[in-house]
Amino acid sequence: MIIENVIAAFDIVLSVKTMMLMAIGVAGGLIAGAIPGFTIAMAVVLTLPFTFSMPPEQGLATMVSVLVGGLSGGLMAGILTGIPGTPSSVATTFDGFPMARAGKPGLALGLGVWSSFFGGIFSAICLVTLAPQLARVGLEFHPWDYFMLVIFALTITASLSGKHLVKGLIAGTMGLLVRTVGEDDAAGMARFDFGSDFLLSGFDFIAVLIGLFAFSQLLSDIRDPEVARQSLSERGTVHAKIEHLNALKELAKRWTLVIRSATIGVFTGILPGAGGSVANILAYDQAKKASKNPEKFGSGIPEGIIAPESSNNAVEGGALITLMALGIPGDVTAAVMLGALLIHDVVPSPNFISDNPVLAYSIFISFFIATFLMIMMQSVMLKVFVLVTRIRMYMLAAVILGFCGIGVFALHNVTFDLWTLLWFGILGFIMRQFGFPLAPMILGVVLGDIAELNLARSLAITEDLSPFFTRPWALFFLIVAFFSALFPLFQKHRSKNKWTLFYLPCACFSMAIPLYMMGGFPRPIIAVLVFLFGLYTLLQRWKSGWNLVKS
Amino acid sequence: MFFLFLWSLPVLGMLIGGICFVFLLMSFLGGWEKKKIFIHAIIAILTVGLMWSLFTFGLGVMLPTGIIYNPFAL
Repeated sequence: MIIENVIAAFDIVLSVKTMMLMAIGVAGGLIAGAIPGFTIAMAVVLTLPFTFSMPPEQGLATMVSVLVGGLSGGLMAGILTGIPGTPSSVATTFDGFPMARAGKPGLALGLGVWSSFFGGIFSAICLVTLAPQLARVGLEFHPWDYFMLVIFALTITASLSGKHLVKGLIAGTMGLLVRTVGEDDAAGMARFDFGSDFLLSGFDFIAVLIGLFAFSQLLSDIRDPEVARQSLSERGTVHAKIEHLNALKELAKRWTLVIRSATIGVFTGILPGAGGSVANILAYDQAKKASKNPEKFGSGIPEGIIAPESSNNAVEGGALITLMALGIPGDVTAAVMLGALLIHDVVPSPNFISDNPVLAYSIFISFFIATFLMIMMQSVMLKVFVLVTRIRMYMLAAVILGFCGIGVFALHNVTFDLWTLLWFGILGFIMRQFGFPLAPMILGVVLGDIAELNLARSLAITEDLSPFFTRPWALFFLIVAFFSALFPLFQKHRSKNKWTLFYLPCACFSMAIPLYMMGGFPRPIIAVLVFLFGLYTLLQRWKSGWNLVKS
Repeated sequence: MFFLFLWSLPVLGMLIGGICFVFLLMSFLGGWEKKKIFIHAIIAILTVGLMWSLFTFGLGVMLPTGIIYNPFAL
């Protein structure tokens, strides 16, 4: 049965039309990722309108290609101009740009490209192996657990979105609020419609996404006309030829770094809200800490390119694991993928892989193929990138704004969606200006329905609220949400306040309780191990006399 | 400007409205010199025309036609 499904998926993905769409997707992603100011999420969002007339397998394969291309495109701008194309290649510029300026741009690009390739392949393997396993765990979830999972996802997204946890939580709540406009799915009651038929049917999810993310980003890009009139090539040199062989030799010497950084990327991707922008910095930092010569980082060494590029390409595999196994997107781009699935009436859940095996396998396969296409097309796209860098930013922005209009209208042929695009674009722009992170709001919009539906189901089963706190998985997510909410405060006061010494042990003790409650064979053992680790940490700190510096 | 584009959509339609929007936005941001206006006009016509054709003929989407020009009435 599995083999039949895999063959059917291969049949779709390897068709001439799908391969052509994937090649265009990878090329588009590489260019979009390379242009500073245009994020990968924006590229994926803008691909959505093209895919709704395609079969789901083909549409998703195209979007995966844009995603994979975008993840690798950011390094071109970062290495050659010193301006990262996307936030997920910020750390690549730390060593990539100095290496390029030192006369080795070809080697720097080669290292980036091949690290991206191996990171992508590693994460694709993790996706194929971990997603079905996690989906089995997801089958244990009841409505109370799902509701708490969404709360956890929103809390951790807010806490990881920077210094302003409160702003992140406000943004997440706003997202949930936006999703409540229209008819209630559970009871069919009209909410916040103000007598308008358009509002009664609710805001279109894709129009909100494009408005919040792409439209607001473009408004920010053209806010200063002087900067918007500049082209990227005015900011740096953009001529180079990729040195594939030398890069592969360097990578072979540092294969453990590739695997370690890719592992960081996959696990960062699994965490809701923590995307490539977190992973690349984290991997760079870990590579620096593990290095015998940390002082050389920043001067243009291979490790400084390999670590961030392996990790940022591995992120999406991780983000897709939670999307495909639990229906919870790991980051904004995965949220857009969720939107693409919803357009085709496919609702990701723990049953997704078993209910839609051909679609699931086609996503796995297209992830692999897109990674190979990326490596084949990188050299060609480098030449196109040189041409694109000559275009003024305001021209690109104006054309893409025009495209946003056409694309959003094409979704449902409703002019109201264009107004949604405009209002949410302005709202997103204002939020950006006031330092509100957009990721929690986007996830709020995406997860709002799941949260509401599961809350309604829970209350329909019983009006007793105790299962939210007594069911093992619900309690587990509640505890993790609580400690992730405290995390920014912990980071701020670390090594300054004594209470931070108890943060990790308390988190371990608390998480051990629901893990033990889950029963079965491995989980109580994991619970005991987690408890013992907390106890060990506490004892170590007691032995050191509650010394803040050593902790 | 996007507000004006939406407001004029029932009259101009997506093709003419889109071209006008992209052209005006580019000229507003990039300047109104003769040479630039010409380049902006070419870019606006080519890009919006291409996107419009792609959606209309490639994806079969009926984009708003407007009062001034209705290509489907021809």
